[in-house]
Amino acid sequence: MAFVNVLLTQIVTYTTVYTLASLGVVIAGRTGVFNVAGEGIMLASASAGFLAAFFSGNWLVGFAVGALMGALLGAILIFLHETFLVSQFILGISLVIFGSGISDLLYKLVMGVRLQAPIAPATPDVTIPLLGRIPIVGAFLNHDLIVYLMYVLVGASWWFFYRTKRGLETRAIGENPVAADVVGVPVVRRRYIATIVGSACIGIAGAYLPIVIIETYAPDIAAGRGFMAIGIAIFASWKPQRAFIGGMLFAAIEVISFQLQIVSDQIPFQFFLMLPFVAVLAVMVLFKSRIEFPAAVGKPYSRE
Amino acid sequence: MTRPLVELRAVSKQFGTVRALDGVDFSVQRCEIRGLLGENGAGKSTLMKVLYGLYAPDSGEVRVDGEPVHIASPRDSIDLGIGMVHQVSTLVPEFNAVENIMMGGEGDSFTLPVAAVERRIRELSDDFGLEFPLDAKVKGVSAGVKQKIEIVRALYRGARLLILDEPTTSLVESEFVQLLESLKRLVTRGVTVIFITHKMREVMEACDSVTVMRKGRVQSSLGRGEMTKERLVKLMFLERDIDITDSALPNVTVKPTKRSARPLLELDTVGAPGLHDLSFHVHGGEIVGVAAVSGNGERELAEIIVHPRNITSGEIRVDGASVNGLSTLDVFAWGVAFTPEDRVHEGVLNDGSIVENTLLGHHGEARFVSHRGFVRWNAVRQATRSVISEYNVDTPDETLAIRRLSGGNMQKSIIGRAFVSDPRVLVTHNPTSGLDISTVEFIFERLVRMRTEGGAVLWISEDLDELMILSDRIVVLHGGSIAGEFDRDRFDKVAIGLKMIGG
Repeated sequence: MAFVNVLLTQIVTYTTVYTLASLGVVIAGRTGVFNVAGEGIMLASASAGFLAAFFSGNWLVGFAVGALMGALLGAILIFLHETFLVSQFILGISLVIFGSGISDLLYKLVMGVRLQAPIAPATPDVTIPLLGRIPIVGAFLNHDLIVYLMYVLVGASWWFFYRTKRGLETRAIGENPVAADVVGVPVVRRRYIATIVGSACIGIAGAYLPIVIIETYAPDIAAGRGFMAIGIAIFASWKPQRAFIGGMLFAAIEVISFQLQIVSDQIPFQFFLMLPFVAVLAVMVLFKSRIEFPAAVGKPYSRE
Repeated sequence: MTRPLVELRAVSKQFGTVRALDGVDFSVQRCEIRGLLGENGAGKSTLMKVLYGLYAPDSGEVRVDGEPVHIASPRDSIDLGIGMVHQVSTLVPEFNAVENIMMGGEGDSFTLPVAAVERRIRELSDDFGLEFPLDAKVKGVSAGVKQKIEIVRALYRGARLLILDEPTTSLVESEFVQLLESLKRLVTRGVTVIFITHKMREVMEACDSVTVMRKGRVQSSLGRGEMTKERLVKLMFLERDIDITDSALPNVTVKPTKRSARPLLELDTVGAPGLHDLSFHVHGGEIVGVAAVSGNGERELAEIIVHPRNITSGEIRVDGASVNGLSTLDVFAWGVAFTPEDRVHEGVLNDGSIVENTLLGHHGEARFVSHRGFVRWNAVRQATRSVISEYNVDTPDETLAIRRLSGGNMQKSIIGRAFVSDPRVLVTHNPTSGLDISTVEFIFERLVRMRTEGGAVLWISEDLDELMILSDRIVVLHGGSIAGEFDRDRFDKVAIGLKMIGG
């Protein structure tokens, strides 16, 4: 039982990364913006966020800077898309390359070369009395504040999209921007907001990797999770609550494959590293018929 | 005279090199149904989109209640009490009626007052005879129901002026009658209606007054008493004289021709998904109409002829040779040409140029594509240019993206494409839907010419009036089977209509 709890605690930690990143994709996707820049945003935010946390000695500053970096890249993406009607996918892929370049460059410029790896300031866990001591339930609760933030963001975006008029309108943009436009919904403004807020979520997910999970910076720290977040968003049919479930699924696969690496000495470890990616493919194939896309996702919109 | 509700003064709008509106003056009085008549591309929709805030005019002024206003977006026009029902549904298919209607507007941003909205919708639909299911997803309802939802949505948001853009395009007769009744009720309650159309019959039946537009200018406005068919035709087309039948369709004379001895297109007990046991034939020098209410196998019939791989029984023969199992390109190589029902989605590649679109369907022909697979663009361009000149496609040049053509011009280029390689058999599905009368006349004449030259035309249409003008025979399709076959001398609208609905 104790082992299950430890495993689950670790899964929840990784769930935070996957869920926040795919939530960012989901939020933008609901307005028709297919943000495929996740990997680049995570890398850039990981680097900037870690540096900010390290030099300020405050984990919170690190996450703030990570979110800002994400928001900035999201703003660049949506500005270029709306102003010059550049394809969202071309912009997204460009930002992936840009992000992966800038992350190491920024780190080396600021940090230089050190013999000892710099360690991120500790992120305090917040425990909940009573509830936190129940097994299983406790595994979801005794974590740092970002985990709680993830729960809040999932709940809040579900509530926004499905329980408010503004959310209904925002979903309408992703389904049929013409329909939203003719009833006076400010299509372009909402797309800006959704893309920037979504990218900030992805940025927080990126900063979580160096600040909480490995507690130092390493090159290519996102390791494809930004791409898997896209897979999760699709698997989730662009629904926030399902992004959480998808996030947990992929976190579980990643954590379990770590454990398997430790216990098995026969199988090369690369096999286990591959598993999450195989899982993305498998999930896509298995759930293909049940996946729904917002009809206008990825499509540019202009009136004339 | 009282102050007009809405007034547009000297409004101009240019798209690239095309002058869509050229100093248009237009005003509407309160509580009337005003027709806005003109052929495709006359600028009717553009003018109304300026009023609704979707297009910014290059110059000119808009006044509401006599006050100059600036309408920068639909939000502004909605605030001024203007509502618009667009030609293509602007509802979100994934949402139900209530969700679609509550979208937009001020207030309630962070709540979802479904019950209150439902109550208000019920009141409005009862008041104006516009009933529809509230909680079915819009993607599953008919065009008529979608339109009712859009009208109620405009009223829900306090529209005093309701603009309907070609509202009858996808309505059947009974729905049109219903719509008319609702509009009349609206007018008695103080709503003003602008009714955009290119069909004279609708203006005559529905409108209290009419404004006729032509080539981006207002020709004239007439009151109820001044409207005559002849006058309207003259205003719409000016220099051209078009002979009109009673159903306001162009009257094209069909002379007797010599039928070919052997049929050019034969269906012999053909079965396919959605089709049962179809047998009929089309000789050279003949136009055979297929009359069917949408959804009775007419799509499947067109598809099985150009894609006979899906035949489950029977045989299709072109000029005596079986085409069963051939690919579409091979069928085309046998001298069959095809124009599909839905020109925008099935007829063209929207972002492709007119040249690229003209190549489609002819890309198996050696004169356009070399045996190594290289396109001979010069030949394709040449063919495209002759289509453009022969079919009067109104375009600056052949490199324009085809989606930028108006509906009529797009259809003309599709028809022109079908005739590029002198087909022996033409299968054409609703070629005139949504087109103005001069384009319809043009297409009619082209079909008749093919018949005179000995070609076989299979013409599938919902519009019995049109079919009866040109067809040598009419085959009625109901439930995927042939419900009747009528020769020209036995044409009877009631009898054929009855067969169409399975009577």
